[in-house]
Amino acid sequence: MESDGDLNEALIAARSNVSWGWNAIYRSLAPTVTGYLRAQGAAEPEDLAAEVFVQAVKNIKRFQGDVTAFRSWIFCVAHNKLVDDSRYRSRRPVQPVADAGSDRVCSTRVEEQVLNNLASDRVRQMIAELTPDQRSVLFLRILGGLTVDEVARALNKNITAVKALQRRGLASLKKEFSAQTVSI
Amino acid sequence: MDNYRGNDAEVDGIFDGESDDAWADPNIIRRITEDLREAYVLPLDDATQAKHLAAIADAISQNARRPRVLPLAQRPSTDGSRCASTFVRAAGSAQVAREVSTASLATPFGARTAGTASAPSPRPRTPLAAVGSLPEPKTAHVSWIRPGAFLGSIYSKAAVIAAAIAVSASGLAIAGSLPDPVQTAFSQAAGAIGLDIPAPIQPPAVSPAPPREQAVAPPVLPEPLPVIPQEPLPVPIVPPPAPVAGAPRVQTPPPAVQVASPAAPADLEAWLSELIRQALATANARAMNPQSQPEAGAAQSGQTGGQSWASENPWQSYGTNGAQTNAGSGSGYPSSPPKAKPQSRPAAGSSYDD
Repeated sequence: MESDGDLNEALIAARSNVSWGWNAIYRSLAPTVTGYLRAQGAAEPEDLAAEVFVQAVKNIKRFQGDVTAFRSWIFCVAHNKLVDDSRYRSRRPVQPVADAGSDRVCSTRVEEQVLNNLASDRVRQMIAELTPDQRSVLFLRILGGLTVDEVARALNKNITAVKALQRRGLASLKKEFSAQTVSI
Repeated sequence: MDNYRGNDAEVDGIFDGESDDAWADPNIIRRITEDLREAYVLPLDDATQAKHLAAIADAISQNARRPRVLPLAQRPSTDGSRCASTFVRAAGSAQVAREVSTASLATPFGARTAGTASAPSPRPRTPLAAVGSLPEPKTAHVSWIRPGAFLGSIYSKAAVIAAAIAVSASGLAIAGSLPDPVQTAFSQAAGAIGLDIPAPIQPPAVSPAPPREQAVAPPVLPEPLPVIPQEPLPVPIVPPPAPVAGAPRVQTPPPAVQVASPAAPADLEAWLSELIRQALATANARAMNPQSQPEAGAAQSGQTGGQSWASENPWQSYGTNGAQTNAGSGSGYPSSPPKAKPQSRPAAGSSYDD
């Protein structure tokens, strides 16, 4: 992830529709945005992340603020895209088809993939106990690196509600983590 | 941790693994954070990045081509500089704003300076409009035709009226309903260019009456003919020939009695000619064979129920009836049957025209 100074210059360039500015912004924020979308259960997080950045390019004229506000704005766009995608897929359910090529590639590193799957399963079990709002707040705080104020703006909630959701979410995660550690 | 009431800095420290053990184990929070990041924050491969960057570049190009048009309804202007201000807002540059407001805009109708126009002053209100309860009076003349539009000038109005008159006159000329001089003029004018418009129907020319000296002599009429009353004329009936012995007997129908009965006087001249010809033929027949009348009359009386021809003869009845007889009075009324015409007269079947 680039520093805020580099990202600030990239944001200035992006306001003038300069491609290198958008490339820098994408390389800095795309992994976290994609991770946020993936953690929220998006069916195709990479494609949805691309749509997030395309939407940001179209609406960059409406944005006013610095890098911190821009990061919060990007996650706000991602959250809205996620809601729209979930509504769209609820109206038009799609049956997934297995990709044979991806199975062959993953088979080369089976042990690493198994460990990752185990870790992912454990984390999924932990976050499965969270409510959707708690999940959103913690993901934005942990994965996106946003502050409470930025999370409040991204989720269109007040700061007090965000703090309460964060506290209850952390307590739930600790409880689940302790239970898994004991069981292991 | 359940009773945590710390600030955001402490929570941020917890997420970064720098918090103390006052309310939670930082290692636990750090491990949770690391697990979440390892599980979900994954680096994108080059192919996905290239695809996403291509989509972003396409959006950048579209965003650059699309002009930023601001709705004019949301940008009211009171100094007439609406176009310039809109353009400046869309451009987003103060330098452009100064250039546009001071320079002239090139338009298809010539150079036009922006920012100098002013709204027209309102019309002075009439004194009646000052009355509160009354509605605002309308203008004296509301023209629904703009001065510069079609039918705005007197020449265009005259042209339209002339065209309407020409069309209506042409229709009347084709129908032949115009007065004769006008119809004649239209017909001649249209005939000159190959159109066929009916000319008025000319009455037959009346020739002046010839002078008396040159009057045509009256035609020479034939000598007057005696008036013959219409009576059913006796037709001589010829008995059928005696059958020859040995010859085959042929049953022939009896000849029908032909009674001359001229048709209705559709053509009076022809009717009279036919009547006269029959009368002459009868007179000739009587003159040629005066003895055959009693037999013929007897034969006719035998067929008609014993009534003799003499009793039917009007000439005899006139002669025997003294009241009706006007003999010797010289009135010209015949007292005896007319005499037979001389042989020099044309035979039956001929006409006087010959």
